Amino acid sequence: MLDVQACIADNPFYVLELSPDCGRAEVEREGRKLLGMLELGLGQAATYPTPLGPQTRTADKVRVAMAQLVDPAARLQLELWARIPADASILEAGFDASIDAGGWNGARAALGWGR
Amino acid sequence: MDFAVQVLVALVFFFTALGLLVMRAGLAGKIRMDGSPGMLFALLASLCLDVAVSMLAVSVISLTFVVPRPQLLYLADLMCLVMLFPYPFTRFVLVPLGAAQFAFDFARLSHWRFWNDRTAGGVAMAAWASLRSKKAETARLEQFLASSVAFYPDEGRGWAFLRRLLPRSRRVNALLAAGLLAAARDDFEGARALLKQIAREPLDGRDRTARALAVEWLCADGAERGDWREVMALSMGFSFPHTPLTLFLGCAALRIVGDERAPGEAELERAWRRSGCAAATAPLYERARGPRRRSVPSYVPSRADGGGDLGRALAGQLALSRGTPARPAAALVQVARAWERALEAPEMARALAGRASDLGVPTAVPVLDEVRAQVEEQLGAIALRDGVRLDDLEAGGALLARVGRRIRGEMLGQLDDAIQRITARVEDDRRLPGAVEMGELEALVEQYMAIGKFGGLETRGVAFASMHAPICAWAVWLFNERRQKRVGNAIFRFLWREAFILEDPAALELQSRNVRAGT
Repeated sequence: MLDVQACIADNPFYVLELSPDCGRAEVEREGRKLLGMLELGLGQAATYPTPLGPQTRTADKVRVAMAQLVDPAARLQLELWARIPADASILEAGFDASIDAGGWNGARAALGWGR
Repeated sequence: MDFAVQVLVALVFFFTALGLLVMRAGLAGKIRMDGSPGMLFALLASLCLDVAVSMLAVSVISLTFVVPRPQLLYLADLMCLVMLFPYPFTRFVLVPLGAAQFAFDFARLSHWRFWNDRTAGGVAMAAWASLRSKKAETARLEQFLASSVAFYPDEGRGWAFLRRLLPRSRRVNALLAAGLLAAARDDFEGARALLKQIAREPLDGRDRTARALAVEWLCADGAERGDWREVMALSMGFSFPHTPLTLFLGCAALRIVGDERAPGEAELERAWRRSGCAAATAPLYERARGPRRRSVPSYVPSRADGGGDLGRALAGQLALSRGTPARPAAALVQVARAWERALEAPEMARALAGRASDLGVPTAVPVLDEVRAQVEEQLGAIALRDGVRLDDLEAGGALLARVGRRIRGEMLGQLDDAIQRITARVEDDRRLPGAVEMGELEALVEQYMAIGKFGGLETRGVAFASMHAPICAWAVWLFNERRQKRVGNAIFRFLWREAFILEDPAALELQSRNVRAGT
């Protein structure tokens, strides 16, 4: 099943704030830097932007993100999701509830053919 | 007239009429419509009783005009009117009250409305009353219908000139009854199939009432589903007589669809006022009167703030996951198409292939396949949650068609497993208490109905074909060896009902005999 949380909110590229085509060394460097900042309790490392809105960054998330990017095949799939820019927003899309539903809900009952 | 004499007249009238009505109702249930001399005698007797009751009623009403103070006779008059006009009394009093048993008894008296198929007509009116009551009890009516009406083994026998007296199709009232019973069980798909079969029966003026009621139900059902084109077609069809309500629904449908034949506001208002239920149809009238609305809303954002096709697909998917939209099928199709655009785009394949090469991965195909599988799985779960049907999925593009086929296969597979479990139990003679057997049947029927609801009549037919023989064997085992007649009968009734809906004559004949044997 498609887990949007895992694909987007916990996507390693968003967690590490890296572009999908970054190199392995860049991942290591950025990961270590973020771990250090989190250890020092720096506010600017506490959150990261995603298309689902800002998410909380923890040391565990950073370690998991670094580990996830080791396997090239797994990384390829994560890159696919990270193609959506972190500053894009997919949160606001919703259905227009005011639009007519088409059918007449409760027609059978109203017309004497139901309870 | 003296008060004591009035009481005497009223009592004599009451008991005489009651006796005649009981005789007539009893006779109506016994007439075998086979064109035999016995049928002629029974019909003549029935007619004599009709005339006797009518004359009695007219006499009492006449008496009211000659007696100086006929207070008590007014009561008798009321009863007379009910006896003279059993159908309006049934339709406008007993059906809205949900009094199924009384509706059955009174409708069977209506020679004019249901001609010589009054038993089926009675079941139809009782089923309609069941539709209106909070507690629908359809099993007894269905047993009655299956065992005495819907299957006519005597077709073609008897005297030819008598057969000509019979309605051209004696299935019409039975179809109406079975359709309304299906609706009372909330099996709207089955009800629709049965009532639509009426359109294919040969036209006969004596079926007017059944046809008019069938088309009215179908129009109400179409309005509920938002299938305004069907409402339009039904209300304009020539093979059905129409009630004022059907005509109004047709006018409203024409305006909602925006058809060029749509009536003007004045004509629409006239149809609305004549519909017989102006208060109940007021919301529809207002809607039909107003400007035409956008038919299908957009469920996928036209742009997802820089997210591209993938962002739009994910945005739609997220919105779908949060709750059921007003038009689930349309929303699902739009989201699936957005996924197709995102995942099938050549740029996406090229970009991923390039990255696979950079990372040393032999091919990017499995990645896309994996994402597609995840998306399909999630769209399938949403389709089941929102009750989106197989035909909507099949019409929604390649991705959704795959989702539909997978769900259909899984559902049929699960049903087969359940049937095999039951068959193995019957073969091993593993006996369960009656209540547990009934529970097994209910679970199986629920599973079967879910397949029908998702896959429509065609898939329901496939499921029925695979289950008919083993489930019938289960019922026979329960009926003959286990003496669990109640459960056995319930299974026979279920199989009879499905054979009727799916138009399987061999199964219908077999199950009619089985139901009759269990009566």
